[in-house]
Amino acid sequence: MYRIIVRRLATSIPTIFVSTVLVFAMRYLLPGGPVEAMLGGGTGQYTPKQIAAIKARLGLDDPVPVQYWHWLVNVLHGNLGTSYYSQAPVTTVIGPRVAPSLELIIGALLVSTLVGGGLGILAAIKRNRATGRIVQLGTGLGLSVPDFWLAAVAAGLFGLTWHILPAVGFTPLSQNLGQNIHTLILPVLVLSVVTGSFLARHISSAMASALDSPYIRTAWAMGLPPHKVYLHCALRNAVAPVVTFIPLAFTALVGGTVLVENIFAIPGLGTEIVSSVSNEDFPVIQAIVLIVGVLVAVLNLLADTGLALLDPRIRNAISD
Amino acid sequence: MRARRGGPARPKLAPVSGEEVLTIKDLRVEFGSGPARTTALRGVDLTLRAGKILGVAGESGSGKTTAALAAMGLLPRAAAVQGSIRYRDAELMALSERELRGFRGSHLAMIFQETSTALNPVIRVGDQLMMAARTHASGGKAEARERVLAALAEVRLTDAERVMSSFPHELSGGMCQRVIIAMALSCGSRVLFADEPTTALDVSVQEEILELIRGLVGRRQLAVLMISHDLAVLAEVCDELAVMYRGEIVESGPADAVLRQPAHPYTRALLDCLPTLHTRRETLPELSSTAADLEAATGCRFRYRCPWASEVCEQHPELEPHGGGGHRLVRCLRTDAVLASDARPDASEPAALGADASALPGADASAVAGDQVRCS
Repeated sequence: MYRIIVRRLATSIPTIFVSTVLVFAMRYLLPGGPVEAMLGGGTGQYTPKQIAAIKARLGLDDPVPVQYWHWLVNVLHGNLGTSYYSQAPVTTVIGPRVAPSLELIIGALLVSTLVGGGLGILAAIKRNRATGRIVQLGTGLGLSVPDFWLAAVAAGLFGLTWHILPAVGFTPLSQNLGQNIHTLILPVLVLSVVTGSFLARHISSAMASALDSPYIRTAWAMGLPPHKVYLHCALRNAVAPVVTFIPLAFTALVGGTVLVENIFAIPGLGTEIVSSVSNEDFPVIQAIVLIVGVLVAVLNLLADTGLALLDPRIRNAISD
Repeated sequence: MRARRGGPARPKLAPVSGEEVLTIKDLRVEFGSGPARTTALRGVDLTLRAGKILGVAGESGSGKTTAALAAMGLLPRAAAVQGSIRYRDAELMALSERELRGFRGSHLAMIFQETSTALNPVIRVGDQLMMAARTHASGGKAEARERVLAALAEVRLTDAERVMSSFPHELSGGMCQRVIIAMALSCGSRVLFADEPTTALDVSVQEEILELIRGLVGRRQLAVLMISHDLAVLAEVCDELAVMYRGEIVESGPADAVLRQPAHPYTRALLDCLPTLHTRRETLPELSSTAADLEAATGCRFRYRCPWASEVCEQHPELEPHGGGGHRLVRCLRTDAVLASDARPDASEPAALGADASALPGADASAVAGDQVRCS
């Protein structure tokens, strides 16, 4: 097991390295480059002398690898640079915005895993009956409903028509836990629909093929009760999709938060990234992309380790 | 505790040798509905006795496995099952799924052809054995473990600790089959349905498993239903033999008598497919199967493939005793002719059918004359 973690780490580190290079390269890939972005209104109104001074201050005269090195060292020290827009350190700009987004993403992961996973299992067990077909239909709908529409309809119905839940707004966790959950219910549910449906589909097909396999027939033939057959024997063979799904869902949910946070007016990374992009505030965009990239790499590492823990055959294949 | 609720209440007295443990009467199974409806079993009677092995032979689709699955209550929901299945003094057909579950494992168990995939690939063998053993007894973990270890010893898996801590893919096919037999034993099964238990194994291992089952039958007074398409396997271990063809038993009786002097043309054909050391043949005879053959909804279902077929075969024969001695039954109106001829009439000569050939509707000479390999 230890060897597997070491091996996966060995592949995760280059992945993280490459992603930092890409993040760093961002500032050169975008039109105008960093100076223009920082000056906002274009370089036309500044003298070449002024531009040269800014370049020197930003260290842009150094060779690119050196610039990268300085940037990386700063990042590793927790210094993500200074926002071009607000002139405040990036960490203070995005710091308070991490928690709401993480709450949304973790909440949506939990809901989609529990509800989506549960529905997937149910659909597989009842696959030739009405229940199974209804679940399949529902998850099919869930996959095809556009989330911006769903978010708008949910906010309208629950918030404005029925007044059950707040249509917009957010109470931070530090202020009031109950209020916090209350404001998160709608956005989390909207975010969970697509990922949950996706997971339900995957787990139900994995579970259905597990249920048709000879070892399940053996389990029935030995008189094991249904809950053991389904949850112990079959599910253990069908959880692989859930595990590989979590990093994927995470990436999808990061995209989803951009939309949902904007619709529900939640001050998270998703709203921040939209304003940073329109302000061409590269240090902030870089920092957010970096955080997401590292988290995805870590989640992938955890998923691979989890898979190996769950399936001895994978374990053997890796350690051989 | 929970597992016991559905189980039978009577004490598990060990059956006496020869006691009728499981009696299947007039078992009929149909799958699907409407025009897609197919009949898998058309009234099958089978009796399993303690300490005896009943062999069921027949080609794919003859209904051997369906009969065993029906007795276990393991057929898919789409199957319509009729008839009577009695286990000792309980009518299994009258039980709910939940009640039936109390019989599975602890009274009736089934092992399958697949060996390596019949055990759960992601659970340690020991945990699987323990799970099954604990389902049927209220005792604690230690007691279940003792039963499992005893069962492993009984199937001659000597290094029990290593086997228990292994995953199925770390064991050989023969070992997996032994583990599954041990699972049935540790649950206390009295009846074992063995569906092609040795087909996936190589010949030397096959021999060991057959010997093991034979030994268990003697020691434990197990009643075994051994399903195989391979008469050589059945000939080796069975006390009684039933030959099935398209959902019906066409011949049954003491195994040696049936094999020595088969009274049904299909049994003869199956025997002709066995390669022997004494006869050298370039190709083994084929039991050909054609579309016409499947149309035989009435009359003898074997008649299109049968070299002895005549006009009388358009009537459906009953399974009846015949003069071959013992408790022998055969479903053939031409048994006398079959028994009278020493060998199978040369199938390559349509003349063997005589004038009757023209009397068979849709009969095609090639349907009976095909002579290539393919027996299973």
